[in-house]
Amino acid sequence: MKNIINISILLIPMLFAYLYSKTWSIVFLIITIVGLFAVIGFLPVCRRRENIWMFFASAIVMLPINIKLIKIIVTNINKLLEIDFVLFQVTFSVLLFFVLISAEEVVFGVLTRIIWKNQYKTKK
Amino acid sequence: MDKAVCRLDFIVDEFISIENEVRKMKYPMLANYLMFYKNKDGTYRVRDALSYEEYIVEKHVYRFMRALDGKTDPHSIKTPLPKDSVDEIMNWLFQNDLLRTSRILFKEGGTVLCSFIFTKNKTSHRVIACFLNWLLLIAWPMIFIIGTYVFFCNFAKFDTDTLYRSVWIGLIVGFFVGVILHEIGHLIAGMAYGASVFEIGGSIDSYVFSSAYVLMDTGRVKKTLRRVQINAAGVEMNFLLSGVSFLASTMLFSLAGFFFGMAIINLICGFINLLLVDRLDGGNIIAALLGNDNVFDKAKEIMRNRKKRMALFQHGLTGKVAVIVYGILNIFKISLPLLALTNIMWFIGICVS
Repeated sequence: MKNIINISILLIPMLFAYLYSKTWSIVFLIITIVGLFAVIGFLPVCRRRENIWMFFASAIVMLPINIKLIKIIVTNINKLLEIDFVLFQVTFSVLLFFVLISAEEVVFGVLTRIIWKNQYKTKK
Repeated sequence: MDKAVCRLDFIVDEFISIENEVRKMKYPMLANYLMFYKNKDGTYRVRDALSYEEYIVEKHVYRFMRALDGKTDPHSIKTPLPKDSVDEIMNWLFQNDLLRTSRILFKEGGTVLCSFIFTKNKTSHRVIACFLNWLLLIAWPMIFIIGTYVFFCNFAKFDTDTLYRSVWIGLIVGFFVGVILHEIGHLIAGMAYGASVFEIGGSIDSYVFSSAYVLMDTGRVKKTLRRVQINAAGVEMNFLLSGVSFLASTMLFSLAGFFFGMAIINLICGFINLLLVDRLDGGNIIAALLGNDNVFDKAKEIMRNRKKRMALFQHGLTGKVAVIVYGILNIFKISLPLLALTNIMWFIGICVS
């Protein structure tokens, strides 16, 4: 029951991320990011393991924004490069998804480590 | 594949002969990428920064090794060691690749390294590196954001002819300048934070992909954020160059295409380097943040070994989340093949269109 509550709390920033992807209102983006850090800081299960939880949480929470961004970028790239090839659109979309998630994980990871300096190391 | 290997052997031979001719090195030199730590019992621990192997040597052997400068005959070095053991030690050093006879190095996995500059870890160099590192940290986000913003504000002024005129030259020149600055970024950050930086050079991986490298050992850098900055400095340089190029393209209208190409290639290279793949900067950054330099090997092991996976599940919710994180890191392995596939699809798309 506790685990379900912990995971459900993560869905709150995800809701605001979905609202941002629909409305493009910067307020929702700010609430999403602040909410994400607040959830990681609030949940006792995340204590001293903030980076590993942030890695997991940011990948899920930012999904709606990433999907919307990919649609916009792929449409514009097709117009710019004048390529109408479905396989290129598919591979480029997946690659762009990996690039976006990587950049987000790095940025959120660094911010998490700046806020919570003392954490357990993962076992080698 | 055989033709590529033969051509590479020819290039390597030429490098070695040029190296010997230029340096007139008569005798073997101790490898510059070794680190020595004194033990409490008077022996020395030798760490090879290239292969990560370690050896324990006696004090007299350590002094003998340090005297191998390439100009001195090993048999004429004044040492309490018996004359018979000099040849034995030289053989041992040679077999373990602890001697250098040229600028070419062969690493496991088919990588060939060619050293361009041997760095010295002097205090004055570190002070300059500290200053440059702080400058980089402050400048790159400002210049990148301002440059991108100014470019896209003025985008309507450019016509496609102006932008595409010399974009290909900009892409090629931008790539090479970006690679050099990328490695200089790592060098500056490494020196600033006390890492042992040995050399900077070019490399060919498995006879196919060429790039540049900075050989350093970050064992002495304990703080996580410093290790992150050392790995991120290369990408920061790419984004800095991208921002500067975007700004230049709006100011120098006649060279807009060239600088646009330079900006785009560095932007792409920066983002590609951030992918969470082992040995790319993004992968190294995540490994440092998660507190395990071998996180990708661990991820592979967890996904292959059901017992270890189930053991991790027993560690509560955090254990389950860790398994998911390792799973995500394993999925990222397809990024580089996907990048190659996307390029192929783009090329086919152009031909079809």
